[in-house]
Amino acid sequence: MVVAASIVVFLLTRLFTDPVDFVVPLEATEEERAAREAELGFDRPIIVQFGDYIAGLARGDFGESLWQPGRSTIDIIGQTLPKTLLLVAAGMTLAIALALPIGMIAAIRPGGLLDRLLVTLSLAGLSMPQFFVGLMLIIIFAVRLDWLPVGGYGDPSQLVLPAVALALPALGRLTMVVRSAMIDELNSQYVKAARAKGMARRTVIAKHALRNAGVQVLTMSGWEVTRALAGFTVVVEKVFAWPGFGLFALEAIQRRDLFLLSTIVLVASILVVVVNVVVDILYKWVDPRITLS
Amino acid sequence: MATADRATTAPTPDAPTERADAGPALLEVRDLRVEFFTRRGVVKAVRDISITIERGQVMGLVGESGSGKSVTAQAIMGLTELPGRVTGGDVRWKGISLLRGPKADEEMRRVRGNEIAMVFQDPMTSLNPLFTIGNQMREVTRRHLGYSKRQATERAVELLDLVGLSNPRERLDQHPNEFSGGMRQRVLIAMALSCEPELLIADEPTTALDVTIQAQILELLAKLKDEFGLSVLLITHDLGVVAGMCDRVSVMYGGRIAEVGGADDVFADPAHPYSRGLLRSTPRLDERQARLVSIEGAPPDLVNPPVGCPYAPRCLSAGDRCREELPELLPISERRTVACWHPFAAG
Repeated sequence: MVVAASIVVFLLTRLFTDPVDFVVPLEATEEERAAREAELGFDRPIIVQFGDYIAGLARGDFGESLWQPGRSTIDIIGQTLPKTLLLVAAGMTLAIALALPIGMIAAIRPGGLLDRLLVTLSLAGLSMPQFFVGLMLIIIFAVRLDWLPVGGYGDPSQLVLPAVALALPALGRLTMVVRSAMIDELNSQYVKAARAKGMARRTVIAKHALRNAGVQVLTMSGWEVTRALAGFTVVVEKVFAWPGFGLFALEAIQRRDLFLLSTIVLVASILVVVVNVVVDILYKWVDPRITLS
Repeated sequence: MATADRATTAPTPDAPTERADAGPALLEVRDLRVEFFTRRGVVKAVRDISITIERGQVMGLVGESGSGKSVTAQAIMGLTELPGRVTGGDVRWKGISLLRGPKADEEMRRVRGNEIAMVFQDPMTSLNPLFTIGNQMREVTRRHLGYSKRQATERAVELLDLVGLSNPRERLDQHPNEFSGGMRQRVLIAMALSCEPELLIADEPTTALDVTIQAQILELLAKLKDEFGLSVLLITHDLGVVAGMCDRVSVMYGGRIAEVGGADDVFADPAHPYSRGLLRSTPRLDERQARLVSIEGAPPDLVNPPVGCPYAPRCLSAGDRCREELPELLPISERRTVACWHPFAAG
């Protein structure tokens, strides 16, 4: 998957854009242009460029940024990725930690007043795109109430709004997943049997049913984390000027920094694979019947 | 409705000597009514039924699907699920109500799984697939008897051994998927016996099992009953099972009890036309029977149950009165109570 992603990005960027336009000054002559092109190696056939790129990767050379000349792209990633990981970790922890209890509470009496209220809120949450949530949060909590900073990075208070913006839609989706999984489990025969053994309703919900709902919840949580890592952070980081690699991905695209973009996509796809492996390992922990191949 | 009077005055026909000690019965279900509030209307699943079980007695509860057997069992355990609700009557355990009064909830929590235990129909789904057998077994004694983990483990080993599972200690660390259906039912029975219950409610415990396994499980239940003096409420639609195990039998039809009597008596000489029909539609080995006779018609719609006897529309001997007036469950002899206007004469 990582290989496929890097090939696709490599080909698309090389075939459909001309990065040299952005690197050379507007008033540059054709000769200057050609010289620069040759210097960067863009005059060679695509296949040669690709071979060169792969050979570089094998040596641990991810290429030099066009936008910030002299800096290795992996160096930029090293600086921005931790910030993105912090944001995603905060946002997803928030979403999962809240979705579990809220979904469980809603599932206790499906169709009840509380359930309907929570479902409505979840639907509202999952229907709102991150940029909208982000802007609303800024208007309310940063501008009107002046409780929290509008954006930026550094102080812990600056983490709050972007993390919430990232968490809210995911929270809505995950709550619905937890709820429906719990409703299924609470109607199952083993729950009835556990109740007949005299187990307290609370024990049955929190122990027996929750673990069985866990597999579904885990699948969706993993998916949310990958979507956040390789997508939603771009939007949220842009809205809150959070200097993570999502924001840098946008910059890289705008400035036709192909080397940086390639590296970002490569790292993002590695992260997606890592998250999936972690989820697979957790499956085994939740459900001992699952065998890892 | 004269139900309250009837329940208290109706004698428990075949146990006059046991009643002589005048103590309360082990389990007394009185005028129990359970209704399900669905979109289609209120399903009157159980309508004012009364069942008494004495110590050491095995009571069979038979009837076709939808007659209210399992709903009754769940109501006794306080496990009626929405949209169902117990809307009338009482369940008394050793004279103390499990449904009504300020202490009922506490009493139910104490009794359920402890003094009254239950075994379900489907052993394949009654165990939680994600927890080990040991974990699920220990749960019970730890909750009710306050056992330590070690004590609970020892007890679980003892119980698995009792129900005939080999290598009980190793079994505790296995998950349900490593067990066959018959083995799982043994585990569930072991679990039910954890706290030495006085009453075991077995809701079609053999229905989901192979015939050979069925026999083994029934044998096990019979052995345990003799060994521990267990009372059993055995719910089944298999009359053969009732004949083999039960002292008394209650026949249910359309959410009502049609007939109660000694198991052998009812089989030899059913008084209610439904009991008779049920018997004739059951294959038997000990009698030459040209062919099985099915009961014509369908069970009653429990949203709008018939005004009269629920069995009247299918009954061959039904008269006008049967269609207009609900028959009470009344004694027709010393050992038999029947809810029918035209019962067959029974000894």
